[in-house]
Amino acid sequence: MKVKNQMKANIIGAGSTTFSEHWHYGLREMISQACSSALKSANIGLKELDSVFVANCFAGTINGQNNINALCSDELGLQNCTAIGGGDAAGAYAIVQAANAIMSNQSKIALVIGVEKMSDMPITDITKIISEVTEQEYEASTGATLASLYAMITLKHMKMYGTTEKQLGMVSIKNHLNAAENEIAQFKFKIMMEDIAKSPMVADPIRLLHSAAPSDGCCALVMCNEEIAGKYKDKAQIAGTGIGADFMAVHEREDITAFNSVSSASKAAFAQAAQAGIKIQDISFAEVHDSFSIGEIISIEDIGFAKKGSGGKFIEEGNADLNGKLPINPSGGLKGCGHPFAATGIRQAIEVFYQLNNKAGKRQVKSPEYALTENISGTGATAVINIYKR
Amino acid sequence: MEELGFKGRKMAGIIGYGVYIPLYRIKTEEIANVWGRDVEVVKSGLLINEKSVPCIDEDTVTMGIEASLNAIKRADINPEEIGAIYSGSETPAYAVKPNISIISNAIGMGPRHLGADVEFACKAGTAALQMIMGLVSSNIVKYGLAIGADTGEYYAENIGDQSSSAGSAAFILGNNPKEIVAEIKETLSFTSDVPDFWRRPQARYPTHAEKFTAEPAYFKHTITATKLIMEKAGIKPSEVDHVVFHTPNGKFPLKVAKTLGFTKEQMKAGFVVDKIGNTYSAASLIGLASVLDVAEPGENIILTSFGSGAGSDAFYIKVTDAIKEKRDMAKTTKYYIDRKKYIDYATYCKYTNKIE
Repeated sequence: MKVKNQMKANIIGAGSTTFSEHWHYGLREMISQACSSALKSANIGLKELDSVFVANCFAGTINGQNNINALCSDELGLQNCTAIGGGDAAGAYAIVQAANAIMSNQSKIALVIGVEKMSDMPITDITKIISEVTEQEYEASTGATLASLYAMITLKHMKMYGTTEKQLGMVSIKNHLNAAENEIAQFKFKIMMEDIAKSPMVADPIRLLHSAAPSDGCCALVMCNEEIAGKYKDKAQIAGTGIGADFMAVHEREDITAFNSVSSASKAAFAQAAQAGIKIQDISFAEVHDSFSIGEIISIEDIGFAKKGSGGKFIEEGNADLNGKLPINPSGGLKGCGHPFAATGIRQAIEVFYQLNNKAGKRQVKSPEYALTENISGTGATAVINIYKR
Repeated sequence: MEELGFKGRKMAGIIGYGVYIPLYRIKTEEIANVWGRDVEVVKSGLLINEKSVPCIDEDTVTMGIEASLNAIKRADINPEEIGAIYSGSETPAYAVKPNISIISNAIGMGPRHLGADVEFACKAGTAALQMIMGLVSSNIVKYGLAIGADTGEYYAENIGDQSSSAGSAAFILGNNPKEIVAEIKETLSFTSDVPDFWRRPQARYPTHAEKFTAEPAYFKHTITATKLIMEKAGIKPSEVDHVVFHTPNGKFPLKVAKTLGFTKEQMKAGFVVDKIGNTYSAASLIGLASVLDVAEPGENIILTSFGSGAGSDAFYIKVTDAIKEKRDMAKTTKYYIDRKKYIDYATYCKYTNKIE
């Protein structure tokens, strides 16, 4: 749907906890930490905020805490807080809702939070809970896990396009390398092909080191309208947004190696961004959803960065490396940073904010102009793509 | 409140010690193959090659008796003179009826003694040792016997079943310097409410909070207690001859050693988990016995146990000249480690009552 936007939404501040097993912090503590940091970064006080959007996936199931927007209001002392769902795309959905509120003049300065605490249960229970983002009736209830569904997608992609284990491994290796330079990241260590090959099999051919780990973390953004953003040196403006959907159950899709949600979202986002004269070849770097290595490869293809089936080659040729033609996941992605589900989409936007304002330190992409974030839910049931400019 | 130390009291020291490890062993791959686990991944993750298995008629009472008899041989005393007995275990024969009354009777202690069973997960044995230290150093008893014993077990399909094993260690303490083979010069404990591993009263098997048992539990308490005991003893890692940590697996104690600046050489004499698995309340005490089997007079030992729930007991021990004449008076730790017979998985299930 084409919408003519007169006023764009901007990010003017960002803050985050590290992603880790935060044994000592609950939801409240993480929310406080991230939000204090974001407000400090934007140099504003709580009183100046007029809306809050909080993304969360599993607090009801894992932490026994539903009504997460009420928790935020309580913890921060703020009114007008809305909870946003959407599986692991909840973070990006929250950014879009905040942007909508700003663009329709419902809000001038919004706080956008993504929070998740996944370390409080054994991994077998967490795996079952994560299945909630897949299709329940035909997938989760019959025993399919997110990993097993992605495994089938991976096998098909390998069969159809000759994608190799080496190419899958290179995604993880690159993302770990990038994560080593990211303060937020949980997995700041290099890995080699042998490490991946030796890591336990999760769901053939997906190994542990092809898989993003569930994590604890909270990220927060301060977003505002153009008028307020004009007073800031550091900012990132949303130039285009697209939200796409596909059949939820993998087996319903004609081609299980294609994330139609991503290609639809990309088309819509670039249609909007075209108003600012931005084309796909102008994108300087992208943060994409590598919950499993194949996720990054398919995302590269279905966003439109590479032809269908050549995502693996794109990786193998080094194009996605930090000093490559089109850096993918300079932050370390989900694999390197860890994946607190609803925080991920916000983390991607934080990376954009730092990169576009030359604040990414040793992982700085050279002179970036336009950036893209892609946040997926489950096996690609939905996708939210945002395109940013300075 | 911090412990007051031994000022004005007699030093309690080890006058006799002994271990018992059951005959049977099951290899790591024997269990891993049944459950479809990658053997190399399991072995490199746990650093355990095989573990001890109690026979169908063995339990913490029988093992406690065997270890105590070895300790009495080394102590070379009349068991009737042992005035107190504490047995630490998380797998006692009964939920209510103490191990110690059976053990004290079997080893000839007679009825006139203090004693009770002790529980603090894997540090119940060292907790028992501290209790005996108190009674001996205050001269309430002439000799005291502390036992750590367990027949650790897990759900068959749980990874914990790869490491949990069976064994016991017994230490007799006295306060006569002429009899002491190893002085316990300092002890302290570090405890906090961390529910990393527990077993509910009616549950047969424990529950393990996975990664939560690592940093907030094992590492925090072991490292803190060890730093505190070194500070109390006024020594640096380089000045320690032998160091023994609790061994839930082979990796954790090596990681603690590396963090604190101890070498593999310092760990070597007390590191037996790769051959017998995690004997729970006996683990760090079997490690200590293994050190005493080879330590030279004048050498010092740092021992830090860990019990889930959670806490660590730390000890600074100094070996005396008397060790040389005493240690060969009973079977060594090496004897029990090397004395073994391999069994298959079905036999393992039978002996550990996994098949009912």
